Amino acid sequence: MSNQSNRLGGFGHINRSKPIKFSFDGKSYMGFEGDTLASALMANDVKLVARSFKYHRPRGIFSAGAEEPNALVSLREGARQEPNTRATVAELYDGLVANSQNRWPNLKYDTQAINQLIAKFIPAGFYYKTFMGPFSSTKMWMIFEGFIRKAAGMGTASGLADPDRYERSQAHCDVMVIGAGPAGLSAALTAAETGARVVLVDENPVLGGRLRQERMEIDGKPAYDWAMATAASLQAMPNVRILTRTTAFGYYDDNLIGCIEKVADHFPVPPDNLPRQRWWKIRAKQVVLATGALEQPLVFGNNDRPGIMLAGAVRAYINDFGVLPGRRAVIFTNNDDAYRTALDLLAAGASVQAVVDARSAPESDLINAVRAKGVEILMGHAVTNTHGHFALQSVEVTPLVGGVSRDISCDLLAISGGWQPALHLSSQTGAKAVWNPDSCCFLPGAPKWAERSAGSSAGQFSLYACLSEGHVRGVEAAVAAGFKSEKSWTVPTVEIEKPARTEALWEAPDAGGHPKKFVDHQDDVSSDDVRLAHREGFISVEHLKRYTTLGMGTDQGKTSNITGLAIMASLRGEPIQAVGTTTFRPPYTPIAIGAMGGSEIGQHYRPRRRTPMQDWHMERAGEMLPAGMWERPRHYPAHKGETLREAYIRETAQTRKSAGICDVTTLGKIDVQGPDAAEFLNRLYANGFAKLPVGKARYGLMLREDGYVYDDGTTSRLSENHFVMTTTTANAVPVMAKMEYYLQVVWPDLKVKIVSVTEQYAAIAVAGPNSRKIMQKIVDLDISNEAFPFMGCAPCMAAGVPSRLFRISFSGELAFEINVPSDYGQYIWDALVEAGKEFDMVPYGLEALGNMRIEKGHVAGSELDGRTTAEDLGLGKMLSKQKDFIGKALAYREGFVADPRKKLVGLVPVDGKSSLPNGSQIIESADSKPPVKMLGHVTANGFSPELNTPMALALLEGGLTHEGDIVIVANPLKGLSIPAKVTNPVFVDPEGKRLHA
Amino acid sequence: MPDTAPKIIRRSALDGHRHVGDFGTIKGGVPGIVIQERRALSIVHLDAWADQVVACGKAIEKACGTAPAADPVKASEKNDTTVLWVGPNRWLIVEPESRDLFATLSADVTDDLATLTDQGHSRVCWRITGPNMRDLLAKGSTIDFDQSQFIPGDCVGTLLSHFTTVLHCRGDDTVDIYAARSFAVDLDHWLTSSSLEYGLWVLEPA
Repeated sequence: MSNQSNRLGGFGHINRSKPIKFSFDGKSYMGFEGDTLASALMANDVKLVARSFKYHRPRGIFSAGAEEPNALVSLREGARQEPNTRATVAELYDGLVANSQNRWPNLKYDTQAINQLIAKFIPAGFYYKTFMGPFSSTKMWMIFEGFIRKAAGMGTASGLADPDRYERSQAHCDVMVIGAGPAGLSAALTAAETGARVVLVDENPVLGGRLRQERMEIDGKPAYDWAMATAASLQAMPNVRILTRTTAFGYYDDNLIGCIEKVADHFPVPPDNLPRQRWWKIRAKQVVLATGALEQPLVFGNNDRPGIMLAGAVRAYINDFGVLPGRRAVIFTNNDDAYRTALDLLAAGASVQAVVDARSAPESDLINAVRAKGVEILMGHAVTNTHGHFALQSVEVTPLVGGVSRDISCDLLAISGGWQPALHLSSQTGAKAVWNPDSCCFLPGAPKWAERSAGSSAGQFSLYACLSEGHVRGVEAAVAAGFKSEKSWTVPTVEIEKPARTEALWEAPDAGGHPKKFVDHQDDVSSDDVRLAHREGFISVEHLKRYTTLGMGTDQGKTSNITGLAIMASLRGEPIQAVGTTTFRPPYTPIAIGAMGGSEIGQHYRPRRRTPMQDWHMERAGEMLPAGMWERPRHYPAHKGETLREAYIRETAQTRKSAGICDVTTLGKIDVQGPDAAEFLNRLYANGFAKLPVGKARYGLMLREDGYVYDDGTTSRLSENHFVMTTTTANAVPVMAKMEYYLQVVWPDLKVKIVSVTEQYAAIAVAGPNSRKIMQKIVDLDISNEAFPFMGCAPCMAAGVPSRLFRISFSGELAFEINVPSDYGQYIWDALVEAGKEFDMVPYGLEALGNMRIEKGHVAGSELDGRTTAEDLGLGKMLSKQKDFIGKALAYREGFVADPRKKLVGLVPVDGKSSLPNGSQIIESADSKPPVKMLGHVTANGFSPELNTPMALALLEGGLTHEGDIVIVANPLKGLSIPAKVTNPVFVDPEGKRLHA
Repeated sequence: MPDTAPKIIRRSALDGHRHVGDFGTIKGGVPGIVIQERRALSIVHLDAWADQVVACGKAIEKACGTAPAADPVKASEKNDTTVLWVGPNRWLIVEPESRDLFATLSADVTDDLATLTDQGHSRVCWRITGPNMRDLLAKGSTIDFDQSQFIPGDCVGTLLSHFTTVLHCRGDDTVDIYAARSFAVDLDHWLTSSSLEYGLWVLEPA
């Protein structure tokens, strides 16, 4: 186990009383609570942490935040393994296991590093040109792709199901402040003091932002103290909600902000039933974006070696984590800010070999302060190359104008190309970023929503500006949200700095040789790749991005986009503003798929509806089938080993022979009441309902407005102004919605009210010649044929329960359907099952239900497919000539009445035994030569025990004009070609005598 | 139709699926969430004719002792009876099953005032109490559940996770959730599993 040789005494905010053990690539190390994996590795002098995406070059830690392009590791093991995790934001916890990725056999000796030797031959787009072009029409590409994917890439997922829970949550607020650095804290505090409801989110575990990472002072004390005091004030305010470890990743319409809270990522396993992550949707009246800025790197030869790091990150490791990233440092900058790094390094005991400043002669207090420390400052110079392999050994420094290069020995190169406001969220709103040549960065554009940027995210980089802007924007947001600001506020005392102007240096020149100069470290895109894109005509930033993959890594180009487009602008000879930026899209940082799914997994992916008798079915059913959102029993095996086919044929036969019972609760049930209820139904249905007598049910057919059949079901008249309608299971909700629409919009003059009673009543069908005897045992009505004829309905008491009884039939047998209040559903079901025992009544499932309706030629969902007319289904005579109804105007248009249309027929196989699968095509002859005309298709099939033959319903061109003809039922997918005879679709009891028995 | 059936026990949608006891992370012996099914309830859906709303309100008051709240998205209560607003001119009248509520209402709320529909078996009602009640609701709905916004007496229809619900705020830390009976088992699972981090007591039905 290594000691923490780079740990600094007296620096950092880590908790040294809580040492933490972790491992990287199998080796154990120690860190402290408050470390990130990156800071802990650095403390243990681990410089090599990754291999690059394409060339497998050694890479180290480059940044200290979310922008990290290099230090991607695989975190955790087994099902919890997370590939491509940025070590710079992974909080250290006891037992953390991390492994490097994209290397074989190990990080140090990676065989694929051979790619570096052939780097010249594999520039951007090489594999498209090389492998896909000549081989695009062959299977060779598929083979190449496998190798390429192995050679280039990142970590891999475990392939195991994530065992942790993810959740969602919502919040509303008056003012949302994103980012808790100096600007964000000021904004949140001032907004909260007006009484506004404030939500403050920050991606770090502790508030403070860069105030934790800098040696600045506020009111004469460390800025960190001010941050902690302000955070404590906010935490004590009841109108403030603070979400730490929370990244605002997306800005959506009407100030909806998407956030991911990493609730338990800092634990090996989420404790206390906590979700691992929580997906927040926060709706804010006003938003203050205090997202800070991202330091940009510089582009020079071999600028990717371990030991080369952003200058601000060096300060973060020293001041926040108490870690010294190097002992002999060189600073390379084009701005003043990196001079702070020199001072901090000196304060931490490191030596600063030189500050290499690309500017010709800048002057400022900060520069003078460094100069006063005796540090050599090389103005008008650039680092043009670096040396070392697994660690930096020296840099080559060259004057930008004339002169000779020299080597400077060092183990750390801190670079700064200036700061770019993190305007991702602003840009996501559609606000077009504006180039600011003075600061060499893009600034947020004019807001599209109720938002404003503050602090460095608005290009205000000084501490004073961050504090004062934060205050102003916080008040502004609160006032815009309807609050009054009455409290006076003074900007805390801070040093007013006058930095020298930043001067752009997008790419350092070569000084002998032509080393790789990386623009995008994560995707191994070099400045040569940008030039190649330009030469090949991909000069738009969007094309540049896609051709080179610049900015397409998991870091979304946070440290590469600006430089890449600036180089392209230079190649095009145009100003940067004219070239523009690529479009920023959510998410700001990568999001786990698990967080997107939230708790909607397993049974909550798609909730199920249950009938009151569901438990009974689930104990006995062979299989449950989805039917809309319900699950219904498919069949009930009589004994172990009985197949589905055997079961449904037995259930069909026994129902027709004696009796069967079926749960039909899932059918839609709609209460229709009011003095105009009959008129309403009369307009809704294609057949007449105005004169339906009280105590009677009627089969109704509904058309769509375009004349096609929409839905069917029975509607019963319970009293003069009270009906109950049934719909198909699948259409219950759409039919109800359509009825509401017609009542509210089309016929508001009708005095009708409708309410769904699907949930209120359990519905049970008892069918078969003995059904009357069974039902009579529990109901108090006389249900003889004379007293209660076919299509009768009446209220009754069933086994003491107030119920509704209907004499309707889907099976074609003598049948009854009883509706009972749902909580009594199982009770009545049990009573009926008991009553049916002496008749060997069987429960029947969906398969037998469907089989019996096929035997009777009753149409259902597979025939009501939105393409059939009433005439097609043999129901043309139901369309009333006496009245108007929905769909009438278009039901008789030419195409609907002209022959030949496909119409409902029955089919039986000529051999009397072959099944006729659903979806099979009907053709004229098995010997037909392509193209073969499709005459129709099979819509439903089953087996009739009564006729002892397979049978099917089909839609056949010409319909029953072909009755008696032999056609071929072809199913190429199953290799079937079956001769079948066209028959009447009603196979059983065509006269309907049983219904009236 | 009245749903009085003496000596016959109503079977809740949750019977056989309810797990009574202590679950999750209960801190200091105090659960963040307490869940109890309210049953058995009588519920009548009342839909007033647009020109009879005032008269209908008086009739409801006569039958139940309380008129509907004057404003939408509000509930009124008197003794054990609650009148929940569920849409323009539409209310659910809820009370523990002790009398024939439908018949009682029918006597005063006549056909010319409104239509009545028995819904006593169509809904399951959970009473949720505890300091994390609002956190739990926020996991599933986009309503603003802040104490200043979702206040006692509020009655909103909203999606809670995948489920269509009516939420009746009864106190700072108490809400009644009404949902369709057929979804009860899955919604109950969602409510209980989402409560584990706060510590959960599931009580026997009231």
